[in-house]
Amino acid sequence: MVDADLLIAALVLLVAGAIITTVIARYRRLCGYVAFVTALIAAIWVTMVAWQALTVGPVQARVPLLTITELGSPLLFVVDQLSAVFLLITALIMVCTTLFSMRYILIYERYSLARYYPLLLLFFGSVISVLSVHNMLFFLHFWEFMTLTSYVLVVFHWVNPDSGPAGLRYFIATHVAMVCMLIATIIVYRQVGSLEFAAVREAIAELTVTSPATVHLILALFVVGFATKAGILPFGFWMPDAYPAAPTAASAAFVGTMCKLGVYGIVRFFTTCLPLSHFVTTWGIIIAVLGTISIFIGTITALQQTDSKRLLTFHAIGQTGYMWLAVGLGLALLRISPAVATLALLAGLFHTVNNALFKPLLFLNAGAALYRTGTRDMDKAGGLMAIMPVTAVTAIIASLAIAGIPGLNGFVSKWLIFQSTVVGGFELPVFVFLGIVAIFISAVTLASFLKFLGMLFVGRLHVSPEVERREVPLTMVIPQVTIAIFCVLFGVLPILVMRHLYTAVSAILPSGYSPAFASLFGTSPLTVNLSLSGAPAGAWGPIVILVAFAGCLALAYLIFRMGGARTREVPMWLCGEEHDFAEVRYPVHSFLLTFNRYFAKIYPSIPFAQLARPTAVLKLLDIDRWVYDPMFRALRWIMRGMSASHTGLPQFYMLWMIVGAALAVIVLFSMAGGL
Amino acid sequence: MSALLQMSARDLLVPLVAAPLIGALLCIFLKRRLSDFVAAIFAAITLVLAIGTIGDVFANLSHTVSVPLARLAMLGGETGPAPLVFELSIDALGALMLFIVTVIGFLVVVYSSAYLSPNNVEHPAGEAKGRYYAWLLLFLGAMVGIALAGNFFQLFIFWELTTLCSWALISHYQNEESLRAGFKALIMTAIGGLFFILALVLMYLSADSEPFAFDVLSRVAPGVRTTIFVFLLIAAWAKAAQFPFFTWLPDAMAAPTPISCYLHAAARTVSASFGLSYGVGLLMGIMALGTIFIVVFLFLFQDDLKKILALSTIAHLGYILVACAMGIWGSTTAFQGGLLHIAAHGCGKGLLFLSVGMLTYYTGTRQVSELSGVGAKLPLVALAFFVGAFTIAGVPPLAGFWSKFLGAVIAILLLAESAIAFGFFLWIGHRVFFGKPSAAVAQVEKSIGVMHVVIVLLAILCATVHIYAIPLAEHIPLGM
Repeated sequence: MVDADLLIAALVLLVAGAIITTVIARYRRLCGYVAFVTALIAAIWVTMVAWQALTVGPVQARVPLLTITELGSPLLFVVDQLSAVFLLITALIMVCTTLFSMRYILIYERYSLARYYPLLLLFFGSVISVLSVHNMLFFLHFWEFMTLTSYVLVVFHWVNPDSGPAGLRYFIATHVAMVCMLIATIIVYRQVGSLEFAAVREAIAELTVTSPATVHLILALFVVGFATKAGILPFGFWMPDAYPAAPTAASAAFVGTMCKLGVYGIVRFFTTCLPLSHFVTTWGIIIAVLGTISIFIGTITALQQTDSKRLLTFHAIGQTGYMWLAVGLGLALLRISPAVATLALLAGLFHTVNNALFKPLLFLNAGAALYRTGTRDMDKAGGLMAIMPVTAVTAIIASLAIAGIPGLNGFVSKWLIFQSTVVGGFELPVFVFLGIVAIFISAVTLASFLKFLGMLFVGRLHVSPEVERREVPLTMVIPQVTIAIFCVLFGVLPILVMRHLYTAVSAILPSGYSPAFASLFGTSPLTVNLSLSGAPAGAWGPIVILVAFAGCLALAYLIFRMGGARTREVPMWLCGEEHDFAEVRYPVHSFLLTFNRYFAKIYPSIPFAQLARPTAVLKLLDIDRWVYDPMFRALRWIMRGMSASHTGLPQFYMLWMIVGAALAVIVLFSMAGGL
Repeated sequence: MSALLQMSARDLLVPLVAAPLIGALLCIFLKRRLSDFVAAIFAAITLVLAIGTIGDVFANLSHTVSVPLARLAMLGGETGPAPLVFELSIDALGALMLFIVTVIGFLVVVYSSAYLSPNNVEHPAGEAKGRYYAWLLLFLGAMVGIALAGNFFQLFIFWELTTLCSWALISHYQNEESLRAGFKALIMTAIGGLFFILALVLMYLSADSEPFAFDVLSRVAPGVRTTIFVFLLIAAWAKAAQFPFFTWLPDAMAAPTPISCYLHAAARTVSASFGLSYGVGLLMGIMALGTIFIVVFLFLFQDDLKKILALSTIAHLGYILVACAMGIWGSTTAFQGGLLHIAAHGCGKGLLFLSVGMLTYYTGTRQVSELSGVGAKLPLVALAFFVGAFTIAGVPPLAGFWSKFLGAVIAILLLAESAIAFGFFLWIGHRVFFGKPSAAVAQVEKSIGVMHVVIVLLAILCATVHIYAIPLAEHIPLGM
């Protein structure tokens, strides 16, 4: 039996780790070990708490020290099933990225690690806090703290001219988003005088009757806030600049945790803080449409990228779109069809979990390539499988998983999403269209990752001569392999994961709302037998399919051997001319030209607008110029005039005395009532 | 120390006001190192006494400790006993201000010892330190007096004393620019002070007994009450550099940096907790909001780092006034939040001023356009600047977040403004500290000294001050 005190212990440990790593930042390797050990212990603790929550029930802990009585805001940590799912992901990513960082970060020789490890640990601490507080005020507080720490990581290469603007955009965009949520929170607070999620729910329930417009405003503000953080377009415009700018291990951490918090926020807010009403339906559709826009624009734009990390970031935008589509669908159908709503929410969460595995893995792959070759430009390095086989294999697994190839985890969640859009389309036809877009883009994702794999990992080795030709160090291999194993495992045995996700989904919905797990997904431990309202809707048995795949492969190999065809190695034929390989290598931007031609302008790059500064207004505001200076001049003019009377001649002074006396007499007489 | 702990706030109040004043007297006659030393000692004594007093206040937060000192027999007349004119008292609000004033005062005194040196690239100076410290400690004493004031009369005396000190300190370098700026500050705030006198006269004429006590406004006729309040408000506007009196503050940046910091960190508003009509609150809120937006616009034209900070100060004093206005409308949370912002903004802006001061100390310029890549040379200064900027912008876990949350219950406009201002500050930070070092920065010779210690302490304070300030702010009642 563990309780949430362990969670608080983990947070304290992370803070302590941050302080220690700040102090010993000079010892770069030791610093890495300390950070890793801290993250590992904290992750174990968090896992224990989360597992407890997922299998037994919510655990909670109160921190009286930081309670603001005036605002009715106790600092209450509650880990429920939904939080637990995200906490488990966070724990895994935390360990993997800190381990990966140990060697990776050493390539930044000139930068102090005091700006890396402490911030990374605090970042994870804030993510864990965001996931487990049940109070709006502290939610926003930790949310903003997460922004702060990640901002410092984004501007880690601060001498680099790109990272400054990227960080600036990032912080300003997310700060404005936080302000949006703060405004919404204040509106709620004024209604009810408390900020606990339960109280917020009451407040909004009251508002739905008295003032529907206010509810829409609140929801809009929250959706904007979450969309900005999650990278949903158009609010996520900062993301393609910011994520690549951070050190790769940090980017992997962002994409594995922070990026998913947008989804967490939406699910948490719309289920815990919002009573079931037509607002949920409306905003569910809006969320799904926003998600689909991101799917389309993000992924299509990814096709045009030549920078590996930028490519992955655009895919992160696209993939988050899938989650939003599924979650939006689930919310929209909450009032209409419990079974489909449960399915869609589960699909969204499953995709979130899967994405939190393969997307950081891809970043780690790109980071490993960067570590070895020193470049992110895919034109300048390629065929790394020859020197980094393990990294390459994990990259292949991750790429196939994200593209939704059957047998890996990405397929299962995408399949569930497509299923739910199709079924949901019966109720709300718009979802059929959104589903078609999503399916189409799934193919585009595959194309894009074939480019990524083809350029960076497979093919003929193409690196600059000074590159060391061997696999990356073990501490960088282990995290990649670990996550890849999870990708395969979740792909082969999806039902195990889905069981726990179902617990989370049914816990956030009203009790008795969701149909039983067995009636939705069947009872088999190896296959998913999807049935909706009693009728079978689809089935997926990964093991059967994989066995069939393996059989086909074996058969193909057998035929190949029986045919006795010989393979031969020949140099590339260059029409008789002599060229260096680098010159004739197929360049990245030549891939998928048709797409790129038609969608070249789909993602406009918006430069920082130079502010127009109307000087006329400045003059208007210069009060000194038109109020005080004239007043002063007038005063001086009057004084000058008066001093002119001081001529120095006694006669004049006599005159003044007589005039003055006469005036005094007149005044006195008039006051006394006349002569 | 243990003896000190056993003393109650009642015994400490008089020495608390006396210590900086004695220090100021001593410093007049001292020179160079000795004056550094003596000034720091007296500032430290003040701080220790203040902490002792506050510790006692913390034991019982809703209680007011007061020590009546003097009545003015001349004003007695036949109507009643002579009014109390000197009275030291401390409650939650006083404790909140006292802490900020004494801590920042102490840090500024220590910082000054290194700042006013021949090594300062912008203003190589080490002369006239005694005079500088004398005024500085007098200023500290006046601020302590304001924090501890038990009635309007005493408040006014110390209020005018700070005006005088500001004049002297702004004019410290005695060049054309600083003399003009000092004179301007003196004139504008003194005209504001005249309205304070008018308010005092009205109080004396219309109240039956104890005309200067803080609760006098509840005892006079409603019409007079509004007039008195508006007069006090005008005085506060002038002092807090609100529209239309804000023009003196950016010019006052001719002062040695530590002063401008102290001036601002300490610049505060009258505790505006009087039961007043809605209209007055509205007037106050609109004026402050107007000021804030004018200032945001003026940001865009500024290239001088210290003037930017000055403008930001005006905006933040505006926040506090808006919060007070909302207090008049009855929002206790907003009012307390505004007072909390005094603490948060004091620390944050103080840190910003001190870090900019170090920037000019090392580079000799404070033009944004001439600075870039400072972070490579002066990482600690960069850190301090960003911590300060995040604090005043209200980024958790720094203090500003809490005050902004409490303070902005209605004023959503303020949030929009703060986002703009924050973006601007962040832009400045990037512009100045990131990228390749510019010519002015490349010639910087690194050194480490007292100033570094001070900004680190202040940065820590920025992250922790709310732990101290929130319980106090929660115990400040609305209306005296």
